[in-house]
Amino acid sequence: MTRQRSRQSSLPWPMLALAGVSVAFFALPFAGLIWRAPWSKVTDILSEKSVGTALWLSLETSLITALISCIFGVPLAWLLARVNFPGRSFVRALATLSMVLPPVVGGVALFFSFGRRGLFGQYLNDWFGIRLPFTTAGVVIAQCFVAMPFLVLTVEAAIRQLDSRYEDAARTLGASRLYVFRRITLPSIKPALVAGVALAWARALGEFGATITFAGNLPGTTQTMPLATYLALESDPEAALILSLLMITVSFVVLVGLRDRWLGHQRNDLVS
Amino acid sequence: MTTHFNFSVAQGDFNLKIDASVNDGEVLAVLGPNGSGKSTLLRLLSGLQQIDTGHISSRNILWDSPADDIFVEAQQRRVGVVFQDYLLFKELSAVENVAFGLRAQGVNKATATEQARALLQQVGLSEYLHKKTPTLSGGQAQRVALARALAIQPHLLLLDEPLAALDVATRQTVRRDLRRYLSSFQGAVVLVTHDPIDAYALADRVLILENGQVMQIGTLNEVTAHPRSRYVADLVGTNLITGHASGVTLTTSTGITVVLADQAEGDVFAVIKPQAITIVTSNELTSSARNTWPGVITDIDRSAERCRITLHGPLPLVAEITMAAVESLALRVGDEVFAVVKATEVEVYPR
Repeated sequence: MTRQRSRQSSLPWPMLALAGVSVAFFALPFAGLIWRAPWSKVTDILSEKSVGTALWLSLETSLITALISCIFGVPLAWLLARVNFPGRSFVRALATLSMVLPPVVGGVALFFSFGRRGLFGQYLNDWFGIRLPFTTAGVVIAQCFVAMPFLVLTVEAAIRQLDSRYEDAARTLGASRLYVFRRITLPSIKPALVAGVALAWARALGEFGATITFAGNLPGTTQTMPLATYLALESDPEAALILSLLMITVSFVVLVGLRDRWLGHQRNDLVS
Repeated sequence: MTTHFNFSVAQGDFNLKIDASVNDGEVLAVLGPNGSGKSTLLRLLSGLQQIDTGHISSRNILWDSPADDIFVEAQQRRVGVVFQDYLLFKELSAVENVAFGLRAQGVNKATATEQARALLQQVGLSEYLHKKTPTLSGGQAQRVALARALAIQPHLLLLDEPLAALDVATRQTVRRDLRRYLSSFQGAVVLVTHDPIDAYALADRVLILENGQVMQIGTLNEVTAHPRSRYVADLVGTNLITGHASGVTLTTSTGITVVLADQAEGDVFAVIKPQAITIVTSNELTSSARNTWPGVITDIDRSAERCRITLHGPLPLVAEITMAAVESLALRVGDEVFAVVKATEVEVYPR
């Protein structure tokens, strides 16, 4: 009688070898960081006032960004997934453009639209006295521009995967579209929503290019962790190492926590 | 009070065109093969989809009339729908599912829960109020779906293959219960099914839908006595012949002649009941029967008390004879035989 061969032996070794190279490629940079990190100075560096300020500002702005992305991104995801309107693919491309754009380009675009002399910025300034560049609000704007698409795409994919017949059933029971969204759609996409918020938050936490271009690098106001790290690289490389490791740890924890809730892989909990 | 629908709608190459009505207290079964447009009809009646031309109205209120620019959306119609897979909300309990419609319309939670509880009690599910719906059996889920649809006190109740998701054993009891609930329902009912047994058990009238067209509409007796399409004839299990009659002769489009007992003229249908057909192995015997057609046996179905013999020949026929007759003639698939039918057994009606 033939016995079932062990599962490993049936895996093709060229694939395993190449995949192994990929894993190494992603792992080695972090190994380098960890190896060079001045572990004895960790507490000193992390307790420095400027580090604390940057860390606090990063947490504050990235959490606000996550919240704003959620409030505006979920309706946009719903629109893209459920409403068939002309130019939908154009809108989707527009809403996700900043994912593939160099963040600096995004920052430049923001500067010329919401800057003090910008297309809209001048009216914000003249009419309401609102100035976004070089303010903490500007940091949030820059982060939203870059981070919100992650939430929109994740949530849109989840809504698309839902069986829309459940929403139809709810409507025949007299539920308005808003009520259907609140009671049927939203609970069903909760895992994807959590994933989307976490992704957007992690992206906002690491935002550098758009922030430094649009909001500048003012300690206490716009200098977030990535900016502080970049600056420290010139003056105090050891501090840069520690700050980098701190951000890696935070992002890594978020990603591990998300596991398979990632784009398109979340289970469709509504359909039996 | 009546629900009227007279409309047409196009979906790509497919056209659905229906003119019918259902009275309050009446059950209309819509019977048709897959792809005949049954599900689309339900979507149109429930307001999940719009018609192209014509109108749909219920109790003298227009629901959909493109000419008048009127379209009442699903959530504003009083239409209860029992969907094919029931589509119960999985994260809600049975009682929350039934209360959903009332809650959506602004009824406070206590009142809605109380009414939902009462409805579930009526369908015999008072022990399952707080069960999450995925844990319910098929028959229980069906009753929750029915209670959920009835909770909004609909004017029109739509049932989409309400028994298709059940296994054969539970189907019979659920069908019997369903008949009881439907008989106490005040509004109009449209039941979509591909199973003639559902129509027999539950419906007052039947609408036969084929390829988006109404082939026949009437009481069950009318439809089954005078089938007007192959689909209906097959459902009823009878032989339908289409042709042109002149005097006492009917000629089919393939040139076969059928001798009739009475005079007839013009385009006609003829039915020959399978029991009326005699199978003989030789046509040299003299007989009083006026019709004899050759054929090859392609199937012998012994599943019922009588055997159903399918004959392939110039005139394809199904004959029903006893098991004893099959055995004494030693009939086998592939045998060449003759079908003999008396002229008086051929019933003719105009097309």
